[in-house]
Amino acid sequence: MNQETTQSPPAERFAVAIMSRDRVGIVRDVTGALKRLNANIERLSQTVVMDYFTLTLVVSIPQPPSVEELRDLLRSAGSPGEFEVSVKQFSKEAKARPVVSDADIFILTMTGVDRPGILAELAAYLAGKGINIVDLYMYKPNPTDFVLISELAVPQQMNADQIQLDIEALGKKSGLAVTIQHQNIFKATNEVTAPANVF
Amino acid sequence: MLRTDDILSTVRMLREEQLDVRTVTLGINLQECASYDLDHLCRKIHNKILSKAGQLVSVCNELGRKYGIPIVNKRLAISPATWLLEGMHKDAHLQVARQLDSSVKAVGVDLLGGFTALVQKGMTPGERTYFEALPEVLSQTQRICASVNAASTRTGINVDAILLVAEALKKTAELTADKDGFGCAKVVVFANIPDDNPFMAGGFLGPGEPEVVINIGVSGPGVIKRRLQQMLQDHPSANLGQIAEQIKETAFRITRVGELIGREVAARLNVDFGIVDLSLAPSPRVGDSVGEILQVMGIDQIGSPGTTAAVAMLTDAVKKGGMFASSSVGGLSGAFIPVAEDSALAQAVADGSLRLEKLEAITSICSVGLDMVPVPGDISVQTLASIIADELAIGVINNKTTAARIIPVPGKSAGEIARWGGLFGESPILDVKNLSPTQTLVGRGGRIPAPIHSVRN
Repeated sequence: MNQETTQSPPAERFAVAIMSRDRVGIVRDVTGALKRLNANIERLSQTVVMDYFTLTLVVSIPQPPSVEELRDLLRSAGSPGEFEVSVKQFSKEAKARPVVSDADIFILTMTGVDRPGILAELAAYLAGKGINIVDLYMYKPNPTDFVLISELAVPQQMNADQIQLDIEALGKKSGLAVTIQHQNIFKATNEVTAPANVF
Repeated sequence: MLRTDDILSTVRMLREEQLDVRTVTLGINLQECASYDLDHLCRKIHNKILSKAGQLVSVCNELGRKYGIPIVNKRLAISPATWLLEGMHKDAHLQVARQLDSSVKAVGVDLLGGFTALVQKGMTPGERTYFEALPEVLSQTQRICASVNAASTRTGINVDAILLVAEALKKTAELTADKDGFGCAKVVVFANIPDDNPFMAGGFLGPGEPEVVINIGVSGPGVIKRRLQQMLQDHPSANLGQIAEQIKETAFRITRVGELIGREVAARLNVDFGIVDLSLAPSPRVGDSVGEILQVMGIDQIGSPGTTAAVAMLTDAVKKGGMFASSSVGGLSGAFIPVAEDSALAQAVADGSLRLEKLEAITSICSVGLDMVPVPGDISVQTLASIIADELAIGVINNKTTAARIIPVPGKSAGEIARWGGLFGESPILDVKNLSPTQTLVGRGGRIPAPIHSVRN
């Protein structure tokens, strides 16, 4: 990762997402293009979902290009039409802060027979309550069933009991097994170091 | 985020494997309630219990929901009631017991332990009165549990106390004959009684404990059984070391759950957190059996050769996992083998493979004692006292806790079913032959001296 160069127009930050069919060399190609811009990568996350690769990053670029220029540059780092690239100017108001402050983290798990609309119903309920999905993971252990695991930020002032009951009702209505528990249980039973704020 | 298989495994533990916190026990020291005015004493007891335990049940229910883990029992453990009753008449014992019973009901708690006499070396007049009052206390209250420390490695075995207990047990059984001697299910005789045991009937708040303290009993025989079953399905040729490792790992998780919830209950109530007791405590509920773990491990007939080794391995593995999980382990932390409360053990008695002698052998390698053992109603005081003396001798010589909760069932004999219901379960009565009247060992009374290793200076 390059050092930022110097004094001239202030560096600008961009949030970038790149999606592509997975192959060896994507990160090389993308970061090669960024290096040519003297861009500095401030934060990066990468996943592969069923053979599709997604890279999300925040970059800081001195002598910044426009959003469209940056997008085209990154697209051309792959073969024609290979990379799907989204670029957004990093908002001045964006901070490294949680979307929901003063929240307890809960882990929600949902399993059952798969059908369209399950996540949409769940997400609608959560958004309606002001609960932010911090992390989300879903897969199918076999062609019929699904497993969904989500980390949720539940505002502290919210009645966790009520959420439990709502989630259970949601599950019953859709014939799915749903549970929601505070993250401390998962940390306490799976990590060697016990949760610090409790122990 | 945590790994998904860890998350799903934890969810399975909570949902399918019936993990629960077996008991949250609030210890309350009642010494400040002392008064020679009995009514004043009872009022102060009531006020202290209300003030310290008033929120216990609601806090436990709330945290149980937050974590999705039921807290099955909420209990109280008090400083020995005999300390409040010295110099008082026998009726005072019953009145205080009734007050405790009613205060416990007022705060919605299931049981209270601590109607206790510590007589491991000698007895005060008040403690003698305690034994006279005990049968009525046990038969006329519902939620009060009693315990007697009749021996310790430091002091030896107070056989006089054992004889008094045996007499009290017989009387208690008669007074509760219509319930198969149930009164005796609420009293335990100990060697080396632990001061911080959260389980009943033997729980009490020992000397030197904090004034108010939360002690937790986790459990989870069902969790261990199912994890073992899964492991053996995946690895049918697993050896004993690998089985021990799986038990240890599972015990780690179970203990962490207990400590997490226990510490939060304590913090919410603004009291000290004491210990986690790692004991595997079965209940009559299907799938919640220690006996079934032994069967999965490879013991077909519980009580047959191999049983003692299996329980030794099980208890040790549980302790290792639990002690890594928590620095605050205490109480009994053994494997319970309460015959009537464990359907597999009761079945083994019915099948004839589990006998009193084998139960006694198992208590030497870390189960806790002869627990919930129904015996024929016509058992003699001398025989009963001798069984207790044998059990306490194991504890005294091996520097461990052992205990006896033996229930004579009036009007019934070996093989007939004693039935108490609920958490107390049922079991066929064990075969015990009365000693001949010429066997006078225990009847000589006195104290069996402390063993040589009690001199530690």
